[in-house]
Amino acid sequence: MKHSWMWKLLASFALLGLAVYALFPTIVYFNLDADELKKVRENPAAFADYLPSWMHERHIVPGLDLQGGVFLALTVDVDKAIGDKTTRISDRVASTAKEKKLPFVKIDTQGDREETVLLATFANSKDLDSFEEQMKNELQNLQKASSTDTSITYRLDPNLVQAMRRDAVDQTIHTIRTRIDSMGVTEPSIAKRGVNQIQIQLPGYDKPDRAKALIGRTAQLEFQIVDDQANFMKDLKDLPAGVEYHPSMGGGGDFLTVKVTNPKNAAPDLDRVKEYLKGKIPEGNVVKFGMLNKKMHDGVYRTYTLLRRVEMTGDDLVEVSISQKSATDSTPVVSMVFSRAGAQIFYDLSKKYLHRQFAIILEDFVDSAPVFQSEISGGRAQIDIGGGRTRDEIAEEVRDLTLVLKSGALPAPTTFSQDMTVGPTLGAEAVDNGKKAFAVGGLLIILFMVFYYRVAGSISIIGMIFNVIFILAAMATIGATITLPGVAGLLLTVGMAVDTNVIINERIREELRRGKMPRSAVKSGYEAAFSAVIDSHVTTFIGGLVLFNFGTGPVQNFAAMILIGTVFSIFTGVVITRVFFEALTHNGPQTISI
Amino acid sequence: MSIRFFDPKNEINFVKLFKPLLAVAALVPVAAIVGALVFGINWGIDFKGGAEMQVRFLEQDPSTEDIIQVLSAAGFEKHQVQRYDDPGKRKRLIRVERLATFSANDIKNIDAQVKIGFASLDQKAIKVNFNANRSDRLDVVLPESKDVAAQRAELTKLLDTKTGFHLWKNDRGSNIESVVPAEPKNGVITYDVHFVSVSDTIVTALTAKFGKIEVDSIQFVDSQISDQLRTDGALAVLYALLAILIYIAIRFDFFFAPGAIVALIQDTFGAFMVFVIARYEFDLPSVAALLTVLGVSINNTIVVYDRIRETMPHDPKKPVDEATVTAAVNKAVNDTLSRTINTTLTTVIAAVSLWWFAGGVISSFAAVLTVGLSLGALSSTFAAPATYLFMRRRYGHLIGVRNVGRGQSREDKLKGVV
Repeated sequence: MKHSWMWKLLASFALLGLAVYALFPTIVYFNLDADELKKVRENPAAFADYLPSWMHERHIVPGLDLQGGVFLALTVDVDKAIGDKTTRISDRVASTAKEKKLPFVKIDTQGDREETVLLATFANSKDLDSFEEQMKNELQNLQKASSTDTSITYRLDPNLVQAMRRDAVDQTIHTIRTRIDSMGVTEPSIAKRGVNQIQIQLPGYDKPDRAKALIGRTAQLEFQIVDDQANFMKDLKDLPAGVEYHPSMGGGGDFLTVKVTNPKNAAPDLDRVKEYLKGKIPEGNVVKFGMLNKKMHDGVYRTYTLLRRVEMTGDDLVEVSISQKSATDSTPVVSMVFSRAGAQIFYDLSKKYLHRQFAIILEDFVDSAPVFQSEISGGRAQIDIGGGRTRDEIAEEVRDLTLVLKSGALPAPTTFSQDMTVGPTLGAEAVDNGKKAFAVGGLLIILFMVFYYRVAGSISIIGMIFNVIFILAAMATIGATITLPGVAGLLLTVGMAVDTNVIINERIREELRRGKMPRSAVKSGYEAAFSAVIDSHVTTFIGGLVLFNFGTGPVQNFAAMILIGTVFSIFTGVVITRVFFEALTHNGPQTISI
Repeated sequence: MSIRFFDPKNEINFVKLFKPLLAVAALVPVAAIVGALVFGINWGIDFKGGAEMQVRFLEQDPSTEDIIQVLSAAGFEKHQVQRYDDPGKRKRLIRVERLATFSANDIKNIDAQVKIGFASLDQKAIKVNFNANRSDRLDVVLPESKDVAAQRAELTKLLDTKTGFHLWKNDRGSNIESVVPAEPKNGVITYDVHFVSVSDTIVTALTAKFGKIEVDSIQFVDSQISDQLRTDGALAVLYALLAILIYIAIRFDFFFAPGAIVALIQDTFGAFMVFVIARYEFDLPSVAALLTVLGVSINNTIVVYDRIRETMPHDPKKPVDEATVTAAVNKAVNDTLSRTINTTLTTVIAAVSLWWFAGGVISSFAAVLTVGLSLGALSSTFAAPATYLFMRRRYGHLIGVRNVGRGQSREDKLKGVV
């Protein structure tokens, strides 16, 4: 083993080479100029153009505070969702009971939020019994809470409530992820925080309002039938400014178009039209708005006259996907799968309203109004967008509609509890300043160590450089995110690495003072310093572990950095630097520069 | 010959300095707490809730007073304007406590006005609620009317004329965008009153006075969340501390743990004092700064402890006398002195260069770090070993530390062993 130091040295440099290889794309990424960075953010695949063809593409991701972007925190309100669901079921029970001509005094909800119950009162106990008998299907998600001779209260089935509580946050995350994917943000991060919170990071994104609008949409999906007999609009007089009358076009009844003054905020104008129409709409109808031409976004809306009854809601859908029209016709269509109860309702609807339009309503706006082409049994349905357009246009619309249906309603209402936007200039400045501080600080440390410990100091510096490269390479390999608190964590571990070498160097000096030869002084110096080094790193690691598990956001990033950092700090401090000392003393010199 | 700040041959009697410096260690947390109570902590948005914007003035360089005046005129009473340390870039941090253009008082006022305006309706059914879903909206609940259009018009007029807010009319002074009725339900109807957002209001007001501005960042934190963040942060630190102390107790022994606590209390509170004195914003990254100080403090203490453990006589059967313990502690502190100085120097160099070059958040971070690191050197040299010595003297008999004859003065005891 005469030349073991040589092999160890070679192995150390081989490791360093590996780390530099892992780190190369990160170096390239952090040196892209603003234009190039924009290009890469819009299309992550473009990053490969800046790298040699044989190079991997994994790199450290700059956090929001470093590259700018939008941070949002959402609170999921499950209690309200429980209340809302009870109310929706109650509405349906009431309208079905009316339809079945069951005698009752009142069917309504009582209480608030999770306390909401359905209260049904009857003139006598016979009516109550027949109600219970006839409404079994509609009441299946409810549980009887209490009853008297003439009244009965139901609450939402506790099993269902439990499932809602368990799944609401996860489902919301799922829904939000689909919505965010449609925004074209690269590397978004969506994570659960605490019991009922979700934190969302959209790096490089700079439109918080659009993000909030898209993510926080409490999108209630509803199906209503379009009233193709509607013709009350032709008699309307004194139409408000910007409103025009159109006769029925290919079924669907006559309608109005509304040109809004501010396409970004259509609400005020549409409100005026709503108000104008109040009292003029026939009993049994409602009027809702939809965009005349969704692709144009030109601020022209049209009215749809619908039958008042909400036939189905997004609750009844279990799956939405894109498929082709038939085995022989590859035109893309939206394919939906309904729940068992939903399948029955949908079949009844398609039979009753065959060849008529039904409106898919999202957040009170008519998203589209396809036609029932056939009776639909089996709980599956296709939405055929219809011809007259290019295949690409159809494909695009099918995709959009699928997205809307899929992301449907969030399982529970959400509130934005935190919201942060960092402009790109701020982040770039932080990175620049950070680089500068790192360079100057590093240089001063190098000067000090080399001045104080001479050759041994240089070895410490080599150890420190190895340490930083190893840590960053590990981060690049797992594609970790680095934020400002993360940089602080990195600094702390670099400090620890230097400290390790200071401890070791001091020990070696002590051993030398006791008269040992350099070679054995190095050996016993490392051995004596080991326990202090291990203890200080283990305590820091334990602290980091706890913080990582209990901390949130910035604290967590800081902790992650500490965890990675302490591991490499021990490795470089105790193993790598020792290899260099061994190389320095392999021929048993009389003196050592320390 | 190698360079050396301090020659280990000339052992310094640190034990003699323990008492006065322990008093300093006790004073630091007291001063920090008193300071925090008297001057208050400049809670950042993470912990207080509110809206925060970083803006750059592109045309003028207004004074802080002028900006505050504009904010006050726009109706934000509780606000804060901070200048960044980068001359020429005209950057400011503006913080207001409110998430909405309306305040809690405004809600009360609107509630009262609506009740007066609709005196003929059932007063109990009238409610004005903050719409939690959108911070810039209010829900006005009224008993259902047959003529919703008329009721809405009446409500709109009332809001426009009686409440100090004005309806959207395409002019600058407006702050209500729309009043939208929902479907009537259970005999009541809810009107969604949509206000102009806080950031838009501030930007409009500042632009009107100082010309074009650019917004670098906007942040909103709900006060409910800020409470939770505060609790979460504190708990995380507490758990981390506990875990570390358990480790020390296992790895060393019972006598060592209290000293580690004393040291890190001194360091962390000392670093915390920087927030109080310099009025730096205390937010989540600040917690990271304090954690760093805490980590370094424990690190320092452990290195000294490790040396004390090593220097102490190792034979467990042979009882040690107090003089030996004192001498061992003094020697260990002396032996680690070079390391303490050098490590602190290098880390402080890094912290100071951060302080100097990195503006904004980082500079406060680095300032705290600099103070904390320097204190860390002191505490590991004095507070931690002193506490250990105190524990050994007070409770040492439990494990067989003999007290040296009472008549001897402490100086004599030291002389005897050094």
